[in-house]
Amino acid sequence: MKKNFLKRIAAAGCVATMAAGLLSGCGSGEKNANGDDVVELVWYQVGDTQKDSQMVIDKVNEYITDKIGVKLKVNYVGWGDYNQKMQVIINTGDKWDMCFTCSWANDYLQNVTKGAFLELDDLLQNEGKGVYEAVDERFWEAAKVDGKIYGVPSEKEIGSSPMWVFTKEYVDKYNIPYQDIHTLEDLEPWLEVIKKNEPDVVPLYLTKEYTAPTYFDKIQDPVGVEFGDDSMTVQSVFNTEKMQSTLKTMRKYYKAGYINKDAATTADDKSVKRFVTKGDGQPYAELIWGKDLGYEVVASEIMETQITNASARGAMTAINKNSEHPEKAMELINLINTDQYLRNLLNYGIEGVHWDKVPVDEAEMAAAEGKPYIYDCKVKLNEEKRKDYSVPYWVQGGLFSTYVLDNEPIDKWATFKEFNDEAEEAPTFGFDFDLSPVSTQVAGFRNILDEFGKALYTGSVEPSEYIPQMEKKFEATGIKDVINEMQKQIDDWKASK
Amino acid sequence: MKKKGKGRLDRLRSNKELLMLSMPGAIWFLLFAYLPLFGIFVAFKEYRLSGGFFESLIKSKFVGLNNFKFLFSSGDAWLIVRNTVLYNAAFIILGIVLPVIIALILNELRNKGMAKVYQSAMFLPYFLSWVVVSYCLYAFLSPEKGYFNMIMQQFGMEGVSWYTEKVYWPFIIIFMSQWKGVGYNTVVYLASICGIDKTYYEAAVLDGATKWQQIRYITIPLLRPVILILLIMAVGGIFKADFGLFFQLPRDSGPLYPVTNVLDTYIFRALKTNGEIGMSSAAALFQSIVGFILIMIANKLVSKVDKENALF
Repeated sequence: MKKNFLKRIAAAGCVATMAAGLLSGCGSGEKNANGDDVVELVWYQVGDTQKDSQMVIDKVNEYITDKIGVKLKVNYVGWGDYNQKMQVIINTGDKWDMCFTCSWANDYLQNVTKGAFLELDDLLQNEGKGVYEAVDERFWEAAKVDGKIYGVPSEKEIGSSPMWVFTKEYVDKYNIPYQDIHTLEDLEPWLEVIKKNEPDVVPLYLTKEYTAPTYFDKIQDPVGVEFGDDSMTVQSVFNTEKMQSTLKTMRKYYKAGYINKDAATTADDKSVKRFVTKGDGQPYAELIWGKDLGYEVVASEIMETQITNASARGAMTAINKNSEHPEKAMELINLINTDQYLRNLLNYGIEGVHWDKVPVDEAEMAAAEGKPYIYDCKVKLNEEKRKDYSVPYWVQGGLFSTYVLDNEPIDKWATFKEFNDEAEEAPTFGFDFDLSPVSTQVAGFRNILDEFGKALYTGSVEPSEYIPQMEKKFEATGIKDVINEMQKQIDDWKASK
Repeated sequence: MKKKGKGRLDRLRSNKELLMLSMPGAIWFLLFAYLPLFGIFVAFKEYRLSGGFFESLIKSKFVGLNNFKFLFSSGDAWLIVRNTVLYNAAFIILGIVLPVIIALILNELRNKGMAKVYQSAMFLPYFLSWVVVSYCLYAFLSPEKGYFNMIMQQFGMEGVSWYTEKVYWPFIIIFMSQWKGVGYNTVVYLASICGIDKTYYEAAVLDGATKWQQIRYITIPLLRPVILILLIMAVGGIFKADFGLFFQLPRDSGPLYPVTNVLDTYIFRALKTNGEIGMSSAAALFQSIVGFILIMIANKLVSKVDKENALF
C-alpha cells in the first residue's frame, strides 16, 4: 500500500519534470525566417496592464522576430508599486533584461551605484549606434555616472518647466493677462478677484504633491545649489532668501483664503473648481491637462527652464548587468527609437484598430517645411478602442519619432527640440552626489521633509515658527556633514571639469 | 508516563497523530520563518549587486553596525520610541479591558439574537483596511466639508483644522484603533467565557451569589490564562506599530508627526527612497530583538507571579 503510494508520487513527479523540460525546450529552439535563434527579452515597464497589451505585443513580436530575432515579454507594474517591486526584482537577482528607470521612480543613480545596470558605452558604439546619434548629446551627458552611461534616455523635454495652469473660463471672464504672470507674487491681484467674485472656485488649488516654486537644484533634498549660482555654494534650500520669502507669501495666501484648506493632505480632486494650479510643463502641456480635466486650460511659465540631472534623467531604459543577451536588448532599444513603424505601434497600438492615419492640412505642412521631425500623417485615435491601449509613451523610448495626434500641431516635436535647445543648464548639471559617506544622515532627512515640507509649501503653517523647528531637526540629523561632503565633492568635480 | 527502555522513537510513534497535526504549521514556520533567518546577514552588509542574491550577499562589504545607526541618528529618535511604546502600552491595556467588559456584557444579555447582532456589528470594522477607514474618518474631519466642522460652524463656532492640530490625535488614534479592534478581541474572550463550565454558576446561584459576584469570583479568574497569554504576546510587539493606523489615518500630515510618527512609519519614510535593504533589515532585526527580549522578560515576570499561566 504505502510503497505503491510513494511510487505513484514519484511517477507523477517524473511526468511533471519531463513536461516542464519539453515546454522549455520548445521556447529555446525557436528560429525566425532568417534561420537565427530567437531570444526572449523581459522588459519591466511602469504603468497599468492594458486590455489589448498582449495583442499589441504579439504584433510587435511578429515584426521584431524577423527583423532582429527577438521576442519581447513586457511586464507592466502599476504606478504605485513600481519602486518597491523593482527593488525586490533587482535585489533578488530575478530574471529581467530591460527596465524603465529615471530620477523619480526606480532611481537611476541608486541602481547604478548598487551595480544593477550594465555599462552601455560599448554597445552604444555598435548595436546602439542609431539611437546614440539620434538623441541630443545633453541627454547622454546626463546619463553618465562617473563617465559611464548606464541607461538609454527617452528623448523628450530635457528641462523641468514649472508652470501656472489657469482655467480658461475665468481667464476669459476677467480678462486676465495670464501670459504676463510668472512669479508667485504676480498671481496676487487675480487671486483676490476670483476670491471676491467666484465663491465656488478655489483661487489657488494645491495638493500634497505641490512644491512651491523653487529656484534651486535639490541634489539631495533639501541640500543643493541655487540656480545661477556659478560659485556653487552648497546649502539647504530653506536657507535661501528666495525660498523663505516664497514660503511667507504662501502663508499670506493661505490665510487670505486663496488656497484650499486641505492642500497639505489632499490628492488632486478633479471635481474641485480651481482658477490656477501648478503643473510641471512642457510645450503643449495645456492640451494634455485640458484633456485630463475635461475643460480648457492655459499656462504660463514660472521660470526659465533649467536642465538638471534629475530633469534630463526623466525617462530611461537600462539593461540588466546579468542579462544573457545584452546585445539583443540594445538592438531592440535601438530599433524602437529609430523605426517609425515599431515606435508608433508600441505608442498608439495597432493601426486600423486603435488608431488611423489622417492626412495633414496642406497649409500647415507647408508652414512646417524645413523643420525636423515632421511626418506626413497625424494620428486619429479610435474613440472606442483607445481606452484598451493607452500607455505612457516615454517609458518605451524617445517621442520624436512618433506621429502627432490630430489635435496637435504637426511641428510639435520641432517645438520640443527648440524648447530643449533654449533650456539653460543649471550650474550643477552633470554632477552626481555619492551619498555613501553620509547615508545615515540622509536617511533621516526624509522624515523631516515629510513632516514640514508639505505644510510649509502649501502655507498651512506659520513659517516663522516652523522653519526654525525644522532647522533644529536638520541640525540634529547632521545636515552640516552632508553639506560639507557635497561641497567637497562639487569642488572636486569642478576642478576636474 | 516515561517507562524505562522506551526510546525517543517510541515516543514519536505514540504521539504520531499530534505530530501529524502540527506538521503543516511546523513546515510553514520552517520554510517562511526559520529558513530565511540567515538573511539577517544583510543587516550587517552594504548590499551591492553581483550576480544572484546569494552571490551578492557574500560579496557585499561587511559594515558592522553601520546600518543600525540611522535609527538613532535622527534628533527624533527618542520621540519616536516614546510614541511607539506609549501607544502600544495604551493599546495593550485597552485591548484587554474593553473587550473583557464587552464580552461580559454580551454574555449577560438575555436576548441571544441581539447579542449576535451587536457582536457582528462590532466585528465588522476589523475587516476594513486602514485606507478605507482613513477616508471614513476624513468625512468627519475634513477641514472644509467634514461633518464635525460643518456642525461646529452651524453653532457659530470656528472649525478646527483637524489635520494640523496635533493635540487631538493621541485620542483619535487610540479611539480608532479600539473601534477597529475591539470586536475581534471580544470574540476571543466571549469564546473563552462560553467554554467555562456552567456548573460553577449553578453552584454559585444556589449559594446565593449575585451576578457581580459570579463575574468577580468565577468568570474573571477563569479568564485569566487567556488574558495573560494574550498579554505576553502583545508585549512582544510593543516595538512594532500598526503601520496603516499611523500612516493612513493621519493622511501622512506633517504637522501631526510629533504624535503620529512611530518606528514603522519612521523607517518607511527614511528608506522608501534610498532602497538600502541593509538598513531595512537592520531596522526589522532591531525590532525583533527588542520584541524577543520583552517577551522573555514578560514571561519571566508572569511565571514569578503565576507559574501555571506563563507561556513557557
